[in-house]
Amino acid sequence: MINNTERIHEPISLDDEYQICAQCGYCNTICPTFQFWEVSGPRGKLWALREKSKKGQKVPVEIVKNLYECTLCGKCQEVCQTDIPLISLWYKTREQAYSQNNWPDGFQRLHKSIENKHNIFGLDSEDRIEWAFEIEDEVEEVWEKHAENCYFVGCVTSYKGMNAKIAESIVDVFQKLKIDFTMLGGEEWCCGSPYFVTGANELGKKNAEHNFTKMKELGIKRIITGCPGCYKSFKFEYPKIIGKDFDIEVLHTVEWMEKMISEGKIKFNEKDGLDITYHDPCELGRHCGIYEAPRKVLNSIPGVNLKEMETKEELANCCGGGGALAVINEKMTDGIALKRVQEAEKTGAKRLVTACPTCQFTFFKAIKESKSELKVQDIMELISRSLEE
Amino acid sequence: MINSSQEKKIQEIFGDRFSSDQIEKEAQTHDIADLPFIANWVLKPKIIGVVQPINTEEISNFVKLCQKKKINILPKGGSTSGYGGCFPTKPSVSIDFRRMNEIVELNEEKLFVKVQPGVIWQNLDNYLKEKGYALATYPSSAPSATVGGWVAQGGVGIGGASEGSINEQIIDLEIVLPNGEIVNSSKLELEHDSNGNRVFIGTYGSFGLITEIILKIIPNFEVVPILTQFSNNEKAIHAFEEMRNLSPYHMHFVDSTFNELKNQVEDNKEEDASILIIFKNTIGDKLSELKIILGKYGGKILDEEIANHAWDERFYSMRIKRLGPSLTPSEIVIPINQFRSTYRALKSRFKSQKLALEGTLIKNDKVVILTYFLADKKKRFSFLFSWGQSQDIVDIGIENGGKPYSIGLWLTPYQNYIFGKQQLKDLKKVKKKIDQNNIMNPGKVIVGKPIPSIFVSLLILLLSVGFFSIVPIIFEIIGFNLVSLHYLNLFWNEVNYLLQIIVPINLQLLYPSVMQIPTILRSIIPTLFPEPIITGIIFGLVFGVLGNIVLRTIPFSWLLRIGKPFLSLGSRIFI
Repeated sequence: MINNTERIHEPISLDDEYQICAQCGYCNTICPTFQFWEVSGPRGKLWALREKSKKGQKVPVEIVKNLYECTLCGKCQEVCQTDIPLISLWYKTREQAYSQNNWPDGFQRLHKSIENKHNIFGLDSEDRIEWAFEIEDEVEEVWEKHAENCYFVGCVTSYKGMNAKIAESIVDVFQKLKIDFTMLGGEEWCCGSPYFVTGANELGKKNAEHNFTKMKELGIKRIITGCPGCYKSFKFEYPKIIGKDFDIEVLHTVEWMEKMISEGKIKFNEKDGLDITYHDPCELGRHCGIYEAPRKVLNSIPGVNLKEMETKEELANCCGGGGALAVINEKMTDGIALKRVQEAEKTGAKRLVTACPTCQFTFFKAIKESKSELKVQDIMELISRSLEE
Repeated sequence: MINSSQEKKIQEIFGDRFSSDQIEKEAQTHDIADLPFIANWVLKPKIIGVVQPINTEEISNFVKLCQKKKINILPKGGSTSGYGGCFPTKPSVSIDFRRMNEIVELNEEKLFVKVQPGVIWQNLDNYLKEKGYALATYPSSAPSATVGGWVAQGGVGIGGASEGSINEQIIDLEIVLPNGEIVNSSKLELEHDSNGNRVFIGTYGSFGLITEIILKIIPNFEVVPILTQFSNNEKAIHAFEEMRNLSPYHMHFVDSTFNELKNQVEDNKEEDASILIIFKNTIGDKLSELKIILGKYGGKILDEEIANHAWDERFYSMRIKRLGPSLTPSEIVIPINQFRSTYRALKSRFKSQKLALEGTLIKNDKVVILTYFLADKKKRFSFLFSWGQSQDIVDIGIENGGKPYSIGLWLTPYQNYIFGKQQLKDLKKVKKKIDQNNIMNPGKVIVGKPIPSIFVSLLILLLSVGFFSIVPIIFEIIGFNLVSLHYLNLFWNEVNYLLQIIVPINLQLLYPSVMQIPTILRSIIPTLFPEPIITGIIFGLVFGVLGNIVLRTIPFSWLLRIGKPFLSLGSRIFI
């Protein structure tokens, strides 16, 4: 199997990787979007890409829909018999499809929203700070101030009301730890992840340049984000776009917390026992190899009892929200989320904890619709509540 | 072909689980094998629709409809074999069983599990382990192979050393016969042929579709893997022969070439030749016996961690495909006492090439040898000849008292080695009795005729015309007019001679003018077409048409037989 440090490596060549596929179908068995039709699974798509591509049309038109009906969870890579770097391969193939103008209509609207309003929902830029409505007084002085640390909130946390708690908790942790920090506020633009995920990498350039310029103006040396999509963009895409000038350290909140805990800078209150289970977000786990940090953090919180699900870490099932799948097939996303919620229920835990606003949102919907008694929560909420003042 | 009213009727049975989507149909025309270009030319695989049943009743209704309308049926599981068992030899509707994936019953008293055919082996094993049981054996493609698929293909897998083949695990099967009737195989008179062989196992659904399987299970056990290493392949094989007396659950030999290639693609840690030997629960006092054998042949036991890794890798023998990017495999079953001689013969025949070889012990002192050559499908001709080498390996296996592991489609010339003449005769009789229209996976077991693509037909015509046109021209150019004339005379003489043989003597007497046709043609053609090139073209056309007729008339296995010496020769010259 490919080790974590190689996760983001580039395929040697798309054509070669398509040939290398052994057609064993191990990927189909674990693929969350495999619908029993051959071309709905990774094996069938790789076969079509190998056998049906034409000159000037590398991605056959017939499989474009299937190509995008994928959460980019990367579980296929974990079981691949011939070690194809499938995460990279799907991204690159989407880039290819975009360059051919073969891609689903839903993404046109998504891209327009980002282009015009700088967020994925097409809402006003000013509303980006609406999440802080309840703590306005506390954060007012933080917006766009000069500081070394920047909390990058991200679109899904900023605009999805039920995710506001994630941002509030992160701000709370900054304040309780008395760490000076800033936020870009209304000047925060979408990190560009939806562009990178859908293959429109060139469009993400503008967003990367804007965010980087603003960060430089504020003297930011460290980005801390609770969104694995934003984290991945800053960590792997921005250096490609900005080049050597991109000298900002990038941390996901779980890495940041792990660091704080190991440095002895965090003290937790004793709490009553709480059974929780942890969902590994695909973009944090399989894409970036971060499995230990969230578990170390959770195991450090007094009273928290981590009960693992049947599938975890490299083989964790997906929430259904990745790869912009919900934009073109929300029903499929909902179905995948429900399965993961049911898996979490089997552990007997009371809370489903994760470290990604998109996962949290898809689980929230699935829990509501299935009338599950589980509560979904971000890891930072747990920390914020357990931190000593 | 299916027309729109037939399509509507199929849709009535399956609803949105019927697909006529072009790309889906094409994606269903293959299994895991990378095939040389010529395979698709000669056989022109065509799927005309895909159905995904969820229960036996749907299948029964579907089979009845297909029988009535003479629609061919191609059963498909996980498509994880490479023998062409699910390769369509005639335009067919693919019946994909993967939605039928329920575990119907676990009987702890009688130790069996009843499952639908689309259940994935690994999922079933995981389910059983949770309940305290295990599968006796499972295929090396268990992460995606279906239960029904392996039963239909037949064979041995992990655990085969102590538990035997899949055949030995099956208590009963629910079958949809070619007339649509749903039956239990145990209650059928025809389940066994005259020699007691089971008709529905290993026959690719040619006699009925498997819709439910009752499998033996065993109490769960702990796997104890021991990995041994040898500096010499032949010494390792010696040790392998002796280690079988330790009654392992599973035993697997990997030769030094295979390990060398594996080490290029992963952190394999196995070097030289290695043997993985698996015991159930404990090795016990067999350890001392093992150590004696190792001492005798210079072997050593590797770390537990490496042994566990080798066991975890049991589903991943194709990792080396990354070095290809294609592979040409071959698989034979040989008596264990012929293992060394077979190994020697293989290594001697392919001494200039990297032949990766592994051997798995199976019950009754036999070994399944799996070999791989690295190849590149994009290099069309060398890839084709590499397939020729695969057949050479089967021949070497046969010379050493073995047989091919499976038949599928590509190894149909070796049918007699798998089934035996009597069994094949019996099977033909059964087929004729229950599937007169030959709609159930046609071309497998009972070999059919190829349907070449238009491209191939035209190519034959073109080559024939080209050849006959160019010969007289060359003769003219080099001044052998007399020879050219002689060549034409010979041809007409041949036609006359053939007519005399073919046309019955009484007809010759009754219609003497028929016998004059060649002579008339012989005098007319030069008048009509004074140019020798025109004569050549006509000859070419005639022979081209004849070639096409022959190609469509002879069984596919004959065609493979005819092609084999050419492939073998090609592989010796070009690889």
